[in-house]
Amino acid sequence: MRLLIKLAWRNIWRNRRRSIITILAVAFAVMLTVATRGLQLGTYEVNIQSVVRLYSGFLQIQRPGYQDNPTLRKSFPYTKKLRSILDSQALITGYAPRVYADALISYRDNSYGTMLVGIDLERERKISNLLKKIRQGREPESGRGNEILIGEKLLKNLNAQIGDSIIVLVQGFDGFLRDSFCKITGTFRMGSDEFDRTVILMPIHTLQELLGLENRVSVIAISLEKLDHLEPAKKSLQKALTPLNLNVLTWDEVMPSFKQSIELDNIGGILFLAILVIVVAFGILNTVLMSVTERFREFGIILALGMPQRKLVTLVAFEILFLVFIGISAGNLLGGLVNWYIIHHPIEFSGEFAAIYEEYGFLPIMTSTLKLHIFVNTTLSVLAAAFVASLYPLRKVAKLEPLKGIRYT
Amino acid sequence: MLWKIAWRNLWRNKRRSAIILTSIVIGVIALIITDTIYMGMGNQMLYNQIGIHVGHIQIHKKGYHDNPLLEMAMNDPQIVNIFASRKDIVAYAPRILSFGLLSSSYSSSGVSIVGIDPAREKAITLIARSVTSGRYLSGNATREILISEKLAEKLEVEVGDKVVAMASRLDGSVGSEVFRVVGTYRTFNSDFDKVTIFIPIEMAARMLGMGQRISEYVLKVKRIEQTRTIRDELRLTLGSEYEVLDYKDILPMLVYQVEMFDEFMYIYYLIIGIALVFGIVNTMLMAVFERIREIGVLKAIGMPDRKIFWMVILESATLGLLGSAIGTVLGYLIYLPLSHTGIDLSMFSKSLESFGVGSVIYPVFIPRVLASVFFSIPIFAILGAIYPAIKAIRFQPVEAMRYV
Repeated sequence: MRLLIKLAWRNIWRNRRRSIITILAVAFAVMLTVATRGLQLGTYEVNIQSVVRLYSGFLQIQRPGYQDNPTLRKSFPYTKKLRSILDSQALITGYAPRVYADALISYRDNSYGTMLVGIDLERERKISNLLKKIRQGREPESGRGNEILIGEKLLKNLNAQIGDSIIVLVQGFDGFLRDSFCKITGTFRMGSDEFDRTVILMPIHTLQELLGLENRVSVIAISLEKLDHLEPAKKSLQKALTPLNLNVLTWDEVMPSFKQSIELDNIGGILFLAILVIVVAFGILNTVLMSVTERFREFGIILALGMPQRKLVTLVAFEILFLVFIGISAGNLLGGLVNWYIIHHPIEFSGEFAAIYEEYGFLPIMTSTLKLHIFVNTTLSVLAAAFVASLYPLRKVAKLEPLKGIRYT
Repeated sequence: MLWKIAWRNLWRNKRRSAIILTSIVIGVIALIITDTIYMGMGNQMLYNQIGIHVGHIQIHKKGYHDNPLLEMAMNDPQIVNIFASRKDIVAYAPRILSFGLLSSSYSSSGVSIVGIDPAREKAITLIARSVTSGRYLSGNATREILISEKLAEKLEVEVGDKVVAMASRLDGSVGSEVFRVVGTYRTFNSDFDKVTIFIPIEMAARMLGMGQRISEYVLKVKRIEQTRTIRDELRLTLGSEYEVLDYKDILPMLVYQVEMFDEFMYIYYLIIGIALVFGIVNTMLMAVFERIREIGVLKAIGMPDRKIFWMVILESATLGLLGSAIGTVLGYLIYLPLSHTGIDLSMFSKSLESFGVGSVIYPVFIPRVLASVFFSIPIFAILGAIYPAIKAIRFQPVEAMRYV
């Protein structure tokens, strides 16, 4: 066996140029795969973190049916008992109740359909970045009339100023329409155009009063330490909340389209890399086939001298393995370096490119990751492709008859 | 002569040529399928938006686009004569647009109100064809309303139920009218569906106190390529009182995004091209080394280096061209059925709907795809042959002839 390994190693350096080119091809594919996957997965994670912290929370508590049909009638009481359950959950780092309601707002001659979001400012501060996005003015306070925060774009569309009062028209919990004056105390900018155009933030008590909701809320957003805690936290909380007829949803259940756009992008990337690997596999097939047929005479003589055919096949297999392995190692190393560099120097977009990203609710930023499974998966898929590519040449060697080999030209 | 030698050289080692050809063909097929899918996706995004609401050209009072207020209305019924007199405009429709609140007895929702002339609108947008239950609006002054499936679900109403629409009037007071839901619709764009409702234009005018005024005209042109020209001509005819915008002005992000798909495709071509180059370099190197003695003889009998160089390059270029041709034919054969049935991505349909694409993607083959393939792949083949060709002319004739 040791002899075979030695022979194989020497054989691949007999045609140095060809071996290096083959190694380069493999390394190129591996590096590109590692870098692309890193860029994709790293960017998804940053986006998920940011979106989760900004909008949905890692988990959300809702009444059954609210997700498909978010109306006030599907709200639920935010009771002491509920709070004590939430407080007792080990994995939950914070939670905040929210009320969502559609409203028509008017300022002078302008009116727009908007969404009112009632938040508990103290609790929200701990679990989300909503209040960090205030651009101008100050936070609204409850108990000081109806104070609200509105999106920068909405303020511009309304042609209003901070300090102005707008008329808010809503349908209350009882079904009757109510209107009231609200005072703009500040603006925010989340980045998402739709959000900045339609959302109004206000203290939850103000909104509950406006809607006649008493202590009812639409959802409770929950934060966790990290995404890995998602499933265990959901399971344990759902168990505690089932008697209260409440559902626990994960962020991807709350925002299915966000989750799916990530998946769509992900699949697109994987398909492209699969094509790349296939093209490179043909390169490997070609090289190996050439190097094998070129040595048919040599093989014939070796066989004639009494080398078992099985060992000859093993020899060629080792050669392929060496080539592919060097390529994979170099590719992983280079790809890892690229990823490491991008993690430390994230790519930030500006201009129109950034605007497109923001339009779909993504951050205009790309980063990478050095997660082990990227390297493992890449290595395994390239190995698998190389294996398939070498089957045909190996078969040729296995079927070689000594005499035919010697006479081969 | 050189072509002939190159061509014959190619077939001296059939297996080798076949394998490198196969890898080129597979690369080309993959490029064609990916490219046509992305083209289809881009086109669908754009045409869906145009078809659902935007139309080819919109005309408003100057400043409306930046600040869509009720008072930015047009009051010049004669203007339609200009549209009607042009043969390159196939249809036009007036609209009144505003924001409001739509309530059922259970729930309410902020909505974007679109007052339309049902017959004229039908000639321009797909809304009439997107009705999923009930029917389309029947007249200009009926108390009928068409809402999306999504909104019907949210408001818990069905066809036949009554809803109340409310919005600020032109004079600043709040106007409201009762409507009966005559139908529900569903488009590929879930964001649009969530908020858009359609009512007859005269009812909208009455509710909003608009009188004869309207917010916009939307036009459909005969051939989409002419849109820009028609826009510019209309700008001249209509003067500075109006703004004439085409879909590129109204959907700049989307147009830019479709262009971005194109740019991404160039990167795809580049990467696949580089991957192919490695294989080509290896193959051509082998082809050259195998023939060292022969090349030595050619040199010894006086063949200039230049010709030997081109002989190798041409061999590789032929490979590239042949691979591109076979790949294109096969890729096209795969594309043909796909372009009819479409590729069903319904597992991602929620996301595709928020992109405004629809869950079935129909790939689109345009001449640009052909040009990209035939421009890039043979060039990569030539690039891959340069190093082997240089090797070939570096041999000393005598050494080369003695090479074993």
